This record gives sequence, C-alpha cells and structure tokens, in this order.
Amino acid sequence: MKRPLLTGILVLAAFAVVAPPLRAGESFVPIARNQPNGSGTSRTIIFVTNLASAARSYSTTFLTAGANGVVDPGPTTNLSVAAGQTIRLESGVPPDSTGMLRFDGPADLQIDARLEVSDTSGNVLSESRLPVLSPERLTSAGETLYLLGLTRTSDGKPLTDFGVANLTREASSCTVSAVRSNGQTIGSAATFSLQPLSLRDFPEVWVTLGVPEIADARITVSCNKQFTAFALVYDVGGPRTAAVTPGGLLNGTLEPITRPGEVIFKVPGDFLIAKNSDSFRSYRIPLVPNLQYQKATIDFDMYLNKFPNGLFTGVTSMRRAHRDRHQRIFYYGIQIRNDNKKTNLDLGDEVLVRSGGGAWKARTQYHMHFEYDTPSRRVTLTVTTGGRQTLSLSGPAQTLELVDNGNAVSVDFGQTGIADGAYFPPIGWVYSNLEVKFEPKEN
Amino acid sequence: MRSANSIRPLTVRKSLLLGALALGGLLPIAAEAGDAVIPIASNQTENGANYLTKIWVTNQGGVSRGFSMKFVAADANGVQARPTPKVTVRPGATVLLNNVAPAGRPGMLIASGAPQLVLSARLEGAGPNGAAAVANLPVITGAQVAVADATLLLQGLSRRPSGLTTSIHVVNAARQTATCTLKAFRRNGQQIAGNMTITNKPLSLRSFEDALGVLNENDIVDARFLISCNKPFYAFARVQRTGTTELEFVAPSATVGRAPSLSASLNQ
Repeated sequence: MKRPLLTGILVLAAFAVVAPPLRAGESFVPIARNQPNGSGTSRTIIFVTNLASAARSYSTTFLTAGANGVVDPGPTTNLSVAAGQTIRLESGVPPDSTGMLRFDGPADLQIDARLEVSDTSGNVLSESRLPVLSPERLTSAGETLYLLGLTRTSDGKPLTDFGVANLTREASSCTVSAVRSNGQTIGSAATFSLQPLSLRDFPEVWVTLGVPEIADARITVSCNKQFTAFALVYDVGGPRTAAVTPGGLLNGTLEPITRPGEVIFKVPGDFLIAKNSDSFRSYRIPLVPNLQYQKATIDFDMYLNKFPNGLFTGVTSMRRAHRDRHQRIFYYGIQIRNDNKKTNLDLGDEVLVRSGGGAWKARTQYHMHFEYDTPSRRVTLTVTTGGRQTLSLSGPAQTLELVDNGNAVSVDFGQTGIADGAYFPPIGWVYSNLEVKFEPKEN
Repeated sequence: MRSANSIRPLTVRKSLLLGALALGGLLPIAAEAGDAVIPIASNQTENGANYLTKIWVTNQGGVSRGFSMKFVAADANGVQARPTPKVTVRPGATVLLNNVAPAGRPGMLIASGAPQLVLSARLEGAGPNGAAAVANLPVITGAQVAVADATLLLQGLSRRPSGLTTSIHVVNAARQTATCTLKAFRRNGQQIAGNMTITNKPLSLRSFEDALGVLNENDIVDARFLISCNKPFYAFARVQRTGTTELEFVAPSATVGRAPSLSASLNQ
C-alpha cells in the first residue's frame, strides 16, 4: 500500500448503484498465495469433496492481485473429482504470486482452503484455514467491515497484510480507516478504486502507515459494491499464521438466517436418471402459503446423454397446479429440438423465446440456471458447461403471481411419456443437484 | 405441429401426485438462542502450551455500550449458564478480553449485548519454547448456524503419529435438546466405522477429542466428517499438534456458490 492512499481524502461513495451479484455456482477464496516466506513457502491449498454419486468437474481460476479478473483472468485449472472423493489442489496458484481464486462448479462440490507455511523439506510450520465466499455471505455495498485485534510489537512482529476484494463484475470504490483501540484514527481515511473481480493487497500495513508499535487496533472497510476484506497476520518463516476475518456484530440471534419466508429446497445427488419406465420427477416447493415471492432461482446439473428420436425433448418446467386446467400457471418450460436446431424457452400463453441451433452436445454435462424475476419481469435461462456459458435465453414473465395460494408450485423434470407424438422424455439423461431458492417480496 | 404448451396437462397431473412426497421439514425454522457464540473458550494447558481465547470488542456507536458473556462448559446445558457482569465499551473504543474461561475447563461462550458492538476472537497458544500458535475463531451468529437437518462438512482433517490430532465439536444452537449424526470418511469416500448418533443438550457444545484416533485411524490425512442435527447447529474441528505452532480451526466447508449454513437437504 502506498502511503498517499491512506492519507487521502475521504470520498463518499455512491452506494445507490447495484452491482450484479456473484453468479450461481461461483465461489471465491480471497487469499491465494504461493510465495517465499523466510526460508519457507506460503501456499494456498484447496480441498474439494464431491458428495455426488458420479464424478463432477469444476474449474479454478487464479486472479492475480491488482488485475482485472474479468478481462485479464489468470490461469484456469479444470479438474474432475470422482464420486465421494476428496482431492487436494496444491497447484492452483502460480509460483511467486498472490491474488484470489475463483471456483466454478456444481453445487455438490464442497470447498475449503488452507494457507500452509512449510519449510524446504515440506515440514508444516504453521497453517490457517481461509474463508471461502459464496453469494449469500458477501458484504453488501455500503456496509462496513471491521478487522479487529491487530497488533505490531516493537520487534516488528507479527506482520499484517491487509486485503480488499471486489467480488462483482464492475469497478468499485472502497474507503479504509485504521483506528487505535482508543478510537483515535491513524491518519486520514483512504479511498481507492478496485477493478472488477479483483483483489487489492496491502502488505505490511503498519509499516506503510508508519506505526512501529500498536496493540488491539482495527481496520474498517466499506465499498460501494459487494466486497470482502481480510488481514493476514503472520511471522516471517512461519511460526504463526492467521487469516483474520471481519468481526461479527451483536445484532442478531442464533436463529439461522434465511429471510422470513425464504425457502431453499435442495435435492443433492442424482434425482432423475430417466428411463422408459421412470422419466419424470416433480418437486413441490414448500413455500409459505399465500406469501408473495419476488424471485425464484432454480439450479441443477443435467447430463445430456443422447438426443431422443422425437422432434422435441421435454426438459424441465415450473408450474402452479389447479384442478381447473385454465387456472394453472405455467411459469416456464424448456424444450430442446432433437436435431439441435433450436431450444424453446416456453413462457406460457403461447410466448416462446427460441435460440439458434447447435447449443447442445450429446454426452455432455450441463449446469442449468433459471431465474424467474418478477421485479424485472424476466425469465432467464443460463446454461454452462465446464465453466463456460453455452446458452442464454431470456423473455418476459407472463405472470407476477409467484405465490402458493393453496395450489402447489412445483419444478418438474422430464415427462412421463411421449406427448402428441412429438414431445419425448429425456431417456438416458441424468438430472442432479437441484437447488431451488424462493425469495419473498420485500414490503 | 402442436404448441409445446400442449404437453402441460401430462406433467401437471403427475406433479400433483408426486408433490407431496417432496415435502421435507423445510419451512422457516424458529430457532432460539443468544446473540453470538465464540466456539472455543480456552484457558488450558496442553502438552506444555497454554491455549488462551482472546476476544476483541469494538463499539462502533456514539455512546457507551455494554455486553456480557456466558461460559458454557463442554456438555453442559447452556440455557442454565450464568452471564458475567456487564462490560462497558466506550464509543469508538476496543476492549480486549483474555480471561474468558475457567482454567482447565473447555467450553464455548455466548455473548449478548448491544447491536453496535463488533466481536472478533482468536485462540492463541504459547508453547514451552516460546513457540506461538494462533487460529482465528468465527463469531457465530445466525449467518453461520445451519438450519435443522442440513448437513455440514468438515474436511482436510488429519491424524498423524507425530501428535497431530483432530477434535470434532458440535454446537446445538437451539434451546431444545438435539440429536445429531456424525459420519467419518477417508479421502477415497470410504466411510470410517458406522454412523454415530449423539444427543446434545440445549445450547451446548459436544466435543470429541482425537476423533480419528478414537476411530482407530492413527495415520490419516484429508479425512472428513459429515454432521447433521435435527435442530439448528454449528460444527467445527480443531486440528493441532499441541505444544507446537500447528493449530487450525476448521469451519464447515462451503458448497460451491452457496454458504454452508443455508441449505436443507432432503436425502442426506
């Protein structure tokens, strides 16, 4: 960190801008290092466990500190984890590098990370688990994070490296203050900008601030986009390493935070391996009765084995039931034309959004992400494979009635048989890792 | 060619039949407890090293604010724990607490206080030869507590003959008794022993020292535990070689794209 940054003028950020959130299926480890540390090495190690009953693939991209992670991402590693296995990834960070890691993969992969300091013989000198961030746990724009209990003794120990990560795909502005335990601010607050998907790393922050000795100090951080911050506290050569994460406010209870009425519905593992006698699944979403929801997000993985013989394959849909078929609501449906010439996003009321051809390949694993968003009145399907987006379809939502009024809202997969001689069930296809989230309308 | 909409009646009819089967206990759950948990309250000497929990409390507000702590010994009913006298923090100031646990008694802390207060905690070990170990501790609130019937994963766990051990800990965040299930696995997915079912008292901490050693896994790396409870809960592991600089606090793993505490699963 350059001194002028911290002695700059406090600039009020414009917090009104709403940044796009992290994409579903995306997580970050904001501390990724592979650097000399005294006579040893500090290295980020990743653990990945696959809880599914089949192999799963994911990608890890290293985002170099200071670089724009959208236009200039670092090397990407594609890996597969066998069913039930845990793998240890030790080579995700290039030598002599610092930055953060981005993960893209299906929801049944579980990730943890460790910063390990080892000597030249490989003996572990110290280690610290590292935060792994997902969309729900990012700090919102305008909030303030507090890194507490930071210390530097007269012998210069420990070192404190401070980092701020912008986890959105837009540039951001952050304001940072360092404060003594008595509340006295050290210098002036500093404001600086961060590139999209980027980390700003400020090594040895107390040296930069000209503070030779301090106890129980804190750093406060606020940004105008979703963000996180950390302090890495360590001794040269490894005997002490701690990733200090933001302190917790005493502003809640131990009640698990799901917003009132929010429903998360999850079916991990394979939930439909479609065959002639069994080619359909339907899950009623346990919504709070008569509560209006504003957004539904549906994620699942789909293995497209081969295209059926008929004209279309009935892939998935979301509906609300009713005894009177004219009162039923069809939120969306997907039909893939089996000659791969188009894909229909069916929005009901005869509204179809069609893609061009060639969007699908046989014997390929896809991740399907649907958003039914009533504030924007849009329905969007995003399809990715191997971390790469292969299809996006979006159209107008035909109803804003995202509510269980006593008639069940369900998500459906496949179909029971051939309809009208043209719509075929997805025989041989495998559906897995369903995650459905319904967010209640804010008053 | 018919409109694709024409296939609707087929699937709708079937969905009504199957829908009832898909219902789990997934409606919002009314859990109860204090304001925040510090999962390790330590003032213990192990293998010549003293492990001490330190807590920093900052008042971000404009007037003095107070808080209190309850020490909950391992296996005790936390509902019955008594709070310490209230500590006041001046506006903008930070206080350090390093005497939060009785000597030699492991447990956890429940902090209660004004919403303007921010807490951070660390476990620090001072070894016999001056070696210092440190681990950041989470301040557990509703953002970290898992809903009932969710499953949390603790991974990257080890047990070595050199003295590296893993202890497993389960926090019952509810004011009711909970039943929890623990499963241990090798890195190849093979389960170690059978499922272990335990009962946790209200607002309590259950600890299993050297959990892999107890399961006769004396030399293992990259093992994992899956933990599930029928009440809101939290789980963690402590990996360490006592008396040395090796010390790790292992929080639940994150699912890609989702925080570990947020999901309830149907078929774990």
